[in-house]
Amino acid sequence: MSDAHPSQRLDDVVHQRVRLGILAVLAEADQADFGFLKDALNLTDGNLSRHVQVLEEAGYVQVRKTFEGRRPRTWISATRAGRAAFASEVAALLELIAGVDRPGRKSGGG
Amino acid sequence: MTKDDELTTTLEELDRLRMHTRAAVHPAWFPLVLFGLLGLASIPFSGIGNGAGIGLFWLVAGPAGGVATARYYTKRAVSLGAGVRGRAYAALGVALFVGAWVAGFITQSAAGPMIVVALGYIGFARLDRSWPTAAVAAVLGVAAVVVAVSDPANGDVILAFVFGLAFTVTGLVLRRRDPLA
Repeated sequence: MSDAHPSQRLDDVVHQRVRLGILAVLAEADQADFGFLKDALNLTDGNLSRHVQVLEEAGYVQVRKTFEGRRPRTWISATRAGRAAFASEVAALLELIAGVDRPGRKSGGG
Repeated sequence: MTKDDELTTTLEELDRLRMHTRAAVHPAWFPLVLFGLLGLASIPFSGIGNGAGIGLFWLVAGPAGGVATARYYTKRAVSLGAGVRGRAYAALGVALFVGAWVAGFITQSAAGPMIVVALGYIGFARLDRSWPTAAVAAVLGVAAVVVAVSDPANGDVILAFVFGLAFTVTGLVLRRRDPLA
C-alpha cells in the first residue's frame, strides 16, 4: 500500500459519480452496451457519451461498435488499467471512510 | 450531509450497481437446474453395463448441457446488453469433462468423477461469483468423499441423486430471485 494520503490517490478521471458507476458496472460485466449502461445509471445519451469518452481517452475503457442487422450497437468494456483504477479508487474511498484522515488520529494503530 | 456520509453513500451506490449487474450477467441458476435435472435423469443408466451406461449418458449429456448453457448465456447477454466472455467458462467446462472421464477410468467408481465435478463447480462458482453454487459444489464434494471412503453398494445412485437434487433445488431457488428468468 502507498504511504500517500488516500485523498491523494484519488484519480481525477475516475473520481466522478457517473464514471465510477460505469466502471462499477464494467467490473462485473465483461462488456455492456450503451443501453444497459444508460438504464443502470439513469443517464441521457449525451451525458453517458461524454463520460464514456473521458474514460476512453484515459485508456480505462474500450468502445466497440457492432451491427445487428441495420441497428448499430455500441459495446463498452473496461481495460486492465480501468479495472485497476476502479479498484484503487474504491480502496482509497474505503480508507477515507475508515477515518485515516481524521484529525488527531494516528495511522498505523497502537 | 458530512463528507463521510457522502463517501458512504457513493460506495453503497457502487455496491448496488455491482450487485444489480452481477445478478443480471451471471444467471448461475441455469446450469444448476440443467445439470441437476441431467443428474437425476442419469440415475436409470447407473445399473447398465457396469458403468458403461452412465458413461455413455454423460458422454452425450455433458457436452450437450455445456452447449445449451453457453447458448443461454450468449442469448441473454445479447438481449440484455451486458454479459461475460465465455472463454474461461468453456476452458473450465472442457477441463471438467476430461477430468471427470480420467477420474472415472482411474477410480472405476462414481466418486472420483463426482469429486472432479465438485471441484469444477467451485471454479464455476468463482467465475459466476455465486456463493450458492460454491456451497452446493462443496456438498457434492463431501458426499463424494464419504461415498469413496464408505463404498456403499449403490454409491453411484446415491451420488447421482445428491448431485441431481441439490443442484436442481438450489438452481430453482436462485431462479426465483432472477427477474430476467
